[in-house]
Amino acid sequence: MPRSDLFPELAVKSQSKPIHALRSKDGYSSSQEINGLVSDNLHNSSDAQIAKLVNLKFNSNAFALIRQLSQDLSAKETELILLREEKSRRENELLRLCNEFGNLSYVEVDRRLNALKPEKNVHKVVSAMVLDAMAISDSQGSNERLPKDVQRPKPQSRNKRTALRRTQQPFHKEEKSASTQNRKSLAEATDIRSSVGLPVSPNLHDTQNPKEEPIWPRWLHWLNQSEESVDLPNKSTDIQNKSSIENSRNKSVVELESMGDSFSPILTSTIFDADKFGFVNDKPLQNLKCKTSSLQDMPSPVESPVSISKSATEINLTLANVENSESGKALTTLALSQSLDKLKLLNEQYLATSEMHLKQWDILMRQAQTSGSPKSDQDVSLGTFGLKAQNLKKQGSSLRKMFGHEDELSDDSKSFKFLQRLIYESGIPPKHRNYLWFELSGAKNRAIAGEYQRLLANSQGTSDPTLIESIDQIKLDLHRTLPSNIYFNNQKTNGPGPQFAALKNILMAFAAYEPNIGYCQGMNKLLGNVMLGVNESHSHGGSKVSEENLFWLYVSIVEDILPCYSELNFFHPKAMMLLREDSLILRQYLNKLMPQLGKHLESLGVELELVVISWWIGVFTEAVSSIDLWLKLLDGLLIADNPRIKFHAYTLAAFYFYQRALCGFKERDSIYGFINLLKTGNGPNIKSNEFMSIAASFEKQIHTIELKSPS
Amino acid sequence: MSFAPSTTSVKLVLLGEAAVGKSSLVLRFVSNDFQENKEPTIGAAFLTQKCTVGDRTIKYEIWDTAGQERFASLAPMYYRNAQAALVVYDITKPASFIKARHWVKELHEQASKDITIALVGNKYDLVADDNDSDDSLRKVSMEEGKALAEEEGLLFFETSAKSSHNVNEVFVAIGSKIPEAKPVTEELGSRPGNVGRIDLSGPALRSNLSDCAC
Ligand SMILES: Nc1nc2c(ncn2[C@@H]2O[C@H](COP(=O)(O)OP(=O)(O)OP(=O)(O)O)[C@@H](O)[C@H]2O)c(=O)[nH]1
Ligand SMILES: [Mg+2]
Repeated sequence: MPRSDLFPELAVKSQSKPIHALRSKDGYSSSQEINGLVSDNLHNSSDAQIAKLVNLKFNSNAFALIRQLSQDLSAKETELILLREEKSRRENELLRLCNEFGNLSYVEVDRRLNALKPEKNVHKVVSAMVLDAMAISDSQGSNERLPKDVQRPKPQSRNKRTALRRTQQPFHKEEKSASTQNRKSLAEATDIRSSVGLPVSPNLHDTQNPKEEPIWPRWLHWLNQSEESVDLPNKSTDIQNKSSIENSRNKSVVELESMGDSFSPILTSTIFDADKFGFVNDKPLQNLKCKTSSLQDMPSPVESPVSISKSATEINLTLANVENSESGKALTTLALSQSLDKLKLLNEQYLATSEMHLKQWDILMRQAQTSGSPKSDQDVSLGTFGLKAQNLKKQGSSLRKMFGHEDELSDDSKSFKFLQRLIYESGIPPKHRNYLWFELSGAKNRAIAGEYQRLLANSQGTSDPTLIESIDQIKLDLHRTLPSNIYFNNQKTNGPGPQFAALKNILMAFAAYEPNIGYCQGMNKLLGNVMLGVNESHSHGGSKVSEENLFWLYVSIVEDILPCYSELNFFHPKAMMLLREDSLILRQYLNKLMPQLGKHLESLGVELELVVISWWIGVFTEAVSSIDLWLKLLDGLLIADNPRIKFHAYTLAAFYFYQRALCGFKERDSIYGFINLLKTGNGPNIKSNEFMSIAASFEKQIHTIELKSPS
Repeated sequence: MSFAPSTTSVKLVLLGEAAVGKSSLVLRFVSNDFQENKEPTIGAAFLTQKCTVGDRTIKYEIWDTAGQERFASLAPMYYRNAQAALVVYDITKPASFIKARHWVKELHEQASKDITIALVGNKYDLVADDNDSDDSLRKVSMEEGKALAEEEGLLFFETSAKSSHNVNEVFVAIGSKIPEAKPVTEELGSRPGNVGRIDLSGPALRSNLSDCAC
């Protein structure tokens, strides 16, 4: 008797070639021709052909054919379950990694995902899924455990098939903001998996074949075995599996569809695997090695209170189906249904919290769009928030004062306060980003039709030496701007990406627009990041922003949003010294607000200014590791009362989150080294709402600090 | 007593026009790597690398500065207290050589008196094959470079971060010129020397120990 008869798990493991494995057991021919015929397109064959097949290959025994078909189907289902389970685990792992490390490089994520061992045991998978679902509710404080008799009921062949099919529901679909809570629960579930065994259907053929009766105790036994013993790979089946596993990997290395919408219509057909912002392999592996060790003592991000992932919902549904169906009776107990109720409740809570902000945003946007309906011609050109943003800059008054005074605008003022609060709490959602950026920056007011084209033309054939100098520098830096991002650099051809030209045009037009400011290294990354944010918004259905409008957005950010130093623009060549002076003030703030860190850095002789200057010139692109967080920082700058103070507050907040790591270093160069790693995107993951609230509290405290006059 | 070689910390700063290859030289020296599209340095970047010169180990604390003219006013922050400097130009760009002259002058006027300076003409790979031909990409002759170096008392190398030609040699030469046994006088932190200390830096910094080909 072939081995697989005694060990159903071996038959299961041979998923890559189910028909082969199963048929050879019965001694039937395993010729390719029949494989194809039986499994794939028998339904396309005429009755005569089927009759012929039955005659020739199944000794005129139609039952044998049916059994064969059933076996094939069952094997396929098994294969699907395993693949889904693997996919789900990869997704969970990916989420965990993203949460733990922030913006990981494609290569590193891929490496880690490939390190996950595929599960080959379908029974284990199904039972684990059931347990996962229960463990989630357990971890929420339920201490119900399944009664003993539920844990090991007698298998009933009738319901097995049903259960198997039900569990194939797309439980793998993950909510994009799957929480750590859930992942923790899943981990816990894995731990208790070994202690509780639940009946799950084996393959149909397993039970139909009377010869296999003695197998039951055995697989029940291994359901209850510890993970390790089950995991022991069987060399030969391993190899058999390999092809199917590799197949599934080649299709898509990282299953990102659940992490966010596909990022851009322009590049959906691209051959690259990139993250949602279009970064490919952006971090040298060497740095990653360093990262993991240097971040050991990072402050662990606080876990969000209540939220579970959608996968749990799906399992929930799966279980509910099982529960409702006649055949699922074995699982139906009071305890289980209570757990399920809890699970449902949790899921609702999660959905509520995760969507609350989005709803609020929608309300606000609706308000803004209606209350901002033009009352005069002037209003049309000024837009909803643009007027305020603009006046704000001119009068230097605070938002509150501004809106408190103008009764006429009280409706808008309410929505503006609402907006301000929302931005600090959640940042602008990608969907509304383009619209709000354009409004809040005041870009809408600046845009002059036709001007962009004129500037572009000017920049082309110029003879102005300062402009030429800027343009030369732009040319030197263009191909060095976000080189790991597919929007700017086509990694395959090493040629320009689809947005390379826009980057170039906007930088050049700006140099022509403001020759005194011209081009400053750092602008390229600022504009590049802004463009990535706009792309993301596009892919979420945000307002369309043309290259021309993007230019005006960029102009507004550089001229109106970034801090000025003695009336000099942030990027003005002469502002550099003033920036440096301002960075000296930061040390005083730091010593007051984080005295322990201040002392530590001082004792090691760290020159804070050296670090801070780079962060500032790069508008924090080099201070935080994730674009997501950076975009929130920009959101906050757009509504900042005083951008210069905001810069200090952001810097202090960054130090706050790096404090634990920095205090752990005993050498000055380790500190500088850590800071340098941040530039390459290797930094601790920081939750943006926490960052923003810390920054806000620093901003308040800064005002209370009396500065010593610089000696 | 142990045979542990004494470790000297050396603060080294790189100066030179934008895109001449400062960051690329550092990347080659520290990680033995080269990137065709190296991002421009914003402000400055910091890296370390150890290097054995004779019987002692030198730990370079490297400040790689941004090359754009408008950052020049920040440079003093970085070359303050530096014991060594690499003034880099691109041998295919005459303007970068003029800029290098300026930096040498400024260093002699502003930096510490005993600073060791190396003048480095980079991107040698671009001219390696056609040094003598008329349409050579070379725009700054080796003689010009040598002359300036002699005049100002500098070390001189033509390097290629891309092919790694002469890169380690620069750092070894600087190392051997650095005055011995000035056991890490660190003005600011006045920390004791690194002799016999456990290196707590991350693996990326540490692993390079073995990579250093010098
Ligand atoms: N062919 C060749 N190209 C080089 C060499 N060194 C650097 N490059 C290229 O020159 C460009 C600029 O190099 P970087 O190392 O970024 O120059 P940098 O001096 O640090 O520039 P900034 O940071 O802007 O001051 C990059 O595209 C490099 O790939 C070299 O030795 N040979
Ligand atoms: Mg550089």
